Formats: sequence, C-alpha cells, structure tokens
Amino acid sequence: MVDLRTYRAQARQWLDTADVPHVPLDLDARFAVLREWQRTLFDAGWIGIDWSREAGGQGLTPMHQLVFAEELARARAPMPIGLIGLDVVGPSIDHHGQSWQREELLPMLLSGEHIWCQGFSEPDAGSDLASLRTRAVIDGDDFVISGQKVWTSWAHKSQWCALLVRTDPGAHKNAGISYVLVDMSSPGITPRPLEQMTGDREFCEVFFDEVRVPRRNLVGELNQGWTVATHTLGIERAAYTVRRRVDYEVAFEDAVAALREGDVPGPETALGRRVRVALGRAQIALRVLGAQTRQTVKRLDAGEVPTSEDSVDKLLLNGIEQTVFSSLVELLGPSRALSGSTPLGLEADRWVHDHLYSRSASIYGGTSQVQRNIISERLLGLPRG
Amino acid sequence: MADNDTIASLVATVDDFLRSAYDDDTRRRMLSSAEQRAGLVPALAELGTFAVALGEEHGGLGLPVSALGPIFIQYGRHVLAGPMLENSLLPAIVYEHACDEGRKLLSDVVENGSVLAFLDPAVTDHWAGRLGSVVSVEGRLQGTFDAVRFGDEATALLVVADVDGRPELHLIAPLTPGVLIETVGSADPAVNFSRVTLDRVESSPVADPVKAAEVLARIRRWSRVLIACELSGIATRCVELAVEYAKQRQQFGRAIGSYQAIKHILADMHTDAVSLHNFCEAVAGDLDELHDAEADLSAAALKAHAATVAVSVCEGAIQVHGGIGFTAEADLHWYYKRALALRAWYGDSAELEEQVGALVLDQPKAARTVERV
Repeated sequence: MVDLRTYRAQARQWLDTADVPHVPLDLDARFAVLREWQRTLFDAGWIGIDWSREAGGQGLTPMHQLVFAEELARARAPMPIGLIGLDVVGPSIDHHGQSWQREELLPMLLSGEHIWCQGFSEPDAGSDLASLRTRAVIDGDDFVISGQKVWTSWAHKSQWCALLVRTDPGAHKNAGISYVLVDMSSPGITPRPLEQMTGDREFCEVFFDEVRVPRRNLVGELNQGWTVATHTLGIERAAYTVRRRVDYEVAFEDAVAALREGDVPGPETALGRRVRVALGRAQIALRVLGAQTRQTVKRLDAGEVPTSEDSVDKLLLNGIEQTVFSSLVELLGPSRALSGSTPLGLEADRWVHDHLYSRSASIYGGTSQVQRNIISERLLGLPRG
Repeated sequence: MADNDTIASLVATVDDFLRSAYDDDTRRRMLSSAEQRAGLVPALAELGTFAVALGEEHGGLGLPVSALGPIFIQYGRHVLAGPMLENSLLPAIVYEHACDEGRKLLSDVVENGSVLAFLDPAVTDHWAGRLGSVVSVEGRLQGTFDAVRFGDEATALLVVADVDGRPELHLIAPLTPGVLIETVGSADPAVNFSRVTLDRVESSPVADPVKAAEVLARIRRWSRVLIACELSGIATRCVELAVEYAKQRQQFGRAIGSYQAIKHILADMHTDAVSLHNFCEAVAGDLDELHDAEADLSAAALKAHAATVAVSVCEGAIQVHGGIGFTAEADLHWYYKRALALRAWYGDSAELEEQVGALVLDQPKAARTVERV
C-alpha cells in the first residue's frame, strides 16, 4: 500500500495541475459545480479512497482519505458533493447490503451520477430518532411506505434515498426499524425544500404516500435497520470531525489573507486591537481542535471507532465552529448588514453566510445536549435520570 | 521510545512520592502555611525532578524539556506547593550559559533543592512595568520587583535586566551586597511572594544580549507550557472530584449526578479538561522543533486556553458541590485559588488572545499548517 507521504505528494501534484473549480455561493450553481468536481475526482481515482476495491474504491485507509482531504484544503479545492453517499450510505451498503446493491448502486454513487440522501429524522423524531413513525408495510414483493421525513439534505436533488422505516409497529422503539433504499423517482414521493436561515435550500421535508419499494432494497435484516444506521454514523463521526477541522482552517486562512490585503489599522487603535483579539480567539480555538483531532486520528488509525469519545470531539467541534465564525463575523461591524460590502477586506456575504451556518453545528448530527448526555452517562458513569 | 519509558517511570515515581509525602492532610497543612513546607523541595530534588531536563554533561538526566510536561500535570493534580517551575526549568535552559560561580548556584538548586527565584518583567504584558523592573547600568543592577515567587527562600536569583531596551540575564546570590528581600503577603496557597530590591548590585551578565534574548524567549515559552500543564492537572482532578461527589450526593431521593442540569456541567468540564490535556501534549511535543514565531504562537495559545478552561472547570466543580464547595472544608478552594493565580502568570486569555492575533496578522506567515497526519 502506498505510504502516506508518497500519497500526499501524489495528491499535491495532481491538484497542482487540476482544474479546481470556483464554488459559487448560489446553491443550485454550487450543486452543479460540485457534482462535476466529484466526477473529475472520480475519474482521477480520488473518490472512495478508503473503500474496498471490491466496492469500487481505492482500497486504502481512512488516513489516506484524511491526507487527501488536507491536500484538497491546501489547494483551496472543495469536497465533492455526494458526501452523504460517500461517507455514510455507501459504507452502510458495503458492510450490510446485498451483493446486487453493491454491484449496481455503488459505482454510480461513487461517480456522482447518483446523489444520495438520508431519510432519518421526522417531525416528531429528532434527537429521539428511534421514535420514528414512517411506516413500511409488506405487500407481496414490495414495501408500501407512508410517512414524512424532515431535514433531508439534498432530497430534491437526489436519485436515491437511504430510508429508516418502522416495519414492526409492535416492537419497542429501535427494535422494529428497517433500513431500505428508495428510488426517489418512485411515485408518491414529494420533496419540499425548506429555506435555511442562510437562504440556502439544502434540506427538505419529504412526504411518502403509499410508495412501493421492492423488498430486495432492504439493507441488513428486517427490523435490524437501527444497527445498520448507527454503526456507520458512528464511524463517520470521527472522520467528519477531522475533516471539518480542515474546512475551518481554510476559512480562517482565507480571512487572514483578506485582512492582510485589507486596511486593518495598527494594534494601537481600538479597531486594530479588536481585529487581533478576534483572530487570536479563533486561532486558539482552531489549535485546540487541532490537538484534539490528533487523538481522533490515532483512534481512526487504530480502528478504535466508534466510541463515546467521539461525543467529546463533536461537542468541542460544535463550540469551536461557532467560536471561529462568530469571531470572524464580528469584524464586519455594522457592515454586516450591507450585502456586497468588504469591510477591512472581508467579503461580508461569505462570513455572514458561514456564521449563520455555524448555528446548525450544535444541532445536526446529535445536538450538543445529546452529546453531553452521552459523555456524562457513558464516559463519566453518571446514573441515567 | 527509551525516553518515553524513562518519562513514564519518572511520572509514576513523582506520583507515588506525592501520594505518600503529600497526602491530603499534609497538603492541607502545607498549603495553609509556608512554614510547614520545610523539606519538601529537597525531597523532590533527591527524586531527581529538577535534573530531568538538564543536560547529561551538566549532571542532569538530559531529557527534552517536554519531559517536564507530564510531571507538571502531576504537580497540578496534587496542588503541589513550591518553586517547581523555577527549579525545573531555569537550570535546564540557563546552565550552559552560566559561569562557574553561576553553575555552582544552579547545581545546588538541582541537586539539593535550594530555591531559585526569577525576576522577570514578562510575567505580564498588560501590567508591564507595574510589578517593577531592573536596569543594568555600567555593570550594576538597579530596581525593584514587587512579585517574586519564593524570593525569601532563594539561594539564587535569576534577574532579567534592561539595557537600552535589550535584555540581560544575571545570576546572583541573595547575600550579594545591595540585595534586599522582603516577604509580602500571598493569596496563592502554593507560592510565597517577596519584594526584591537591587541597589547598585555588582554583577556581570550570564550571556551576551543576542543569546540572552533567545534564552529568555525559550524560558517564557516553556513557562507558559508548563503552567498550562499544571493547570491541566488541576482541571482533570477537579472533574474527578466533582464526578465522584455527584454520584454520592443525594437530593430529592436520587444522586444529583442523575439530573441533566448537573450532568451537562460535568460533561462540559470533562470536555474542557480533555481538550486541555490533549493540547498540552501536542504543544509540549512540538515546541522545540518549531520556528520562533510559531513556537511563541503555540505556547501563547496553549496558555490562553489553559487559563480559561482550568478556572471554569474549578468553578463548575464548586457549583456541583453546592454549599460545601464554597467552604474551606472541601479541598476545591485550593485548586481554585491555584488556578486563579496561575491564570495571570505569563498571561491570561485577554492578554494572550491579543498576542496570538498579532502573531497571526502581523508576522510574516508563520508556519501555520493544515497538515496533521
């Protein structure tokens, strides 16, 4: 297997000559650009890096995947669009799926021809995901699915959905849940995009009205979907932490570069001092995260994921994303309210967008409160309430 | 790897020693009164703790300064009183530059646990000058420092003196004519303070000015890192104490640790303490391999985080303990007072955030990097 140093050099060399796209702020344009970029990466062999060769991947390790993510960041190149598929759904299919699913679905997932979404949360099943109610009833060779999902990222642009459904209404909570793959062009599916506070329409409500899905689309055993979903979500969490750190570092470096070009006054002025304090605060937060993720990388490398330690990472990550972007957005001052302005050299629109987006960090993927419960009960051994 | 084994066994030795010679009762006694501490520092010298980072050619163990990191974490856990920072760090860095007489003073510190005091105006930036300063004029030192740790116990003083805006380092014996040392009150249970006045004290500098600036920069960086390590030990121990208490203390018929209001405080404390520990490990491991600006940035960032986190973890522990946490019956107040004192020493977060920001913005791009794997 190629060693990490060589792999980094190869990645850097390829990225040096690659046609790295500019990522537009407009969501539809962004989606198109990033999907095309995934295809480019796929053709060059940079997709599915830590996937097995049998599944169409490169047969390398999570560390190689991280090295490539770092090189993407260094080259100011974006991640591919299909991360839900690449990071979570694909590995679930690979580990728990049937052979036809692996053979027919994974190649298109990798190339970006098929974008995947993940139908987990429901209006009444947020942090308490196991109380989900979307029902699947077996009728001949099909499941017939009815219900509603929400916060489903890219549902309106996806070809496929990995859906959690209740298949045994009598079983307690997570015992009666199954994991099925749903073709989004099936009759009876209606995605309705929700506008986020950033103005993006990235996630949707999705309505399922008597949608027929072949039983062969089941992943894992009937009523065992909870295991499939949580297993891969857990593994993904550690890698996600390490990758997000790279995103923040890049954003921070962009801000510093812009401020250096901009008209920041000296440290003897009130404003000059504020700029330095804000940058200091953000930089310190990033250093904390950097040190934390060294341990995460060690766990990943040793295959010691998922563990409850991942919740410590997630809790820190949530706070740090918010610290970094609130520190940076503060530097816009009153110009925050002026679209298209560039106070101190900073593009207001970008930092306003990223700051607003950071509010979601402590909510998605398990709220900070849920992480605190996990930490206190599983790591500190405090009694359940 | 051999180093790692040596360090692990040193840390275990220090921990064993403190568990017996500095058990809960002894600690309370020693923190209550400086007079009760006799014999503690010589005993630590005998264990070899002050020789850890001193070069082998000078009679030390020749380990990297980073080896002191895990030892200082133990000092924090035990709220150890004494001049550990001065005695462990300063000889290791200064010895090679000192003259024979100076070396004798330093060897006495390392081998016998005599006390070394450090007169450094850079313990604070925002209050610079307000704690005093020393100037060197024609071979004589003149000035006062109001806050010198362990000045009244010292057998050697390391003095930073200003010569036309450049630093000089002097190593002098307290009995040198012109040196006046007065004990002043201390609100730090682990440290006693003195005011040291130097009146036309004859001395020659330890190193040339260029060298002195380098040596000082290194001392100040490592001071920040080792104080952060000590704060990390304090934080980790406070989490343990609070978790233990939350499991035992019953209210409304259940352990208070079963309530989310308490759990979430403890989860945040744990996360803070873990992040600080990992940060200490990362910075200590890298520091001597980094370029100056990057090393300064790393050490300042670590100390800033440590200052904030350790104090807030102590406050969380006090809150979880309720009324008893506010009393002198529980041990938490020692940890808290210690953390508050260390927070200000070599910069709190308000000072250091500004310094870090200035390094990021104003320095030619420091070797900041996104590579970690």
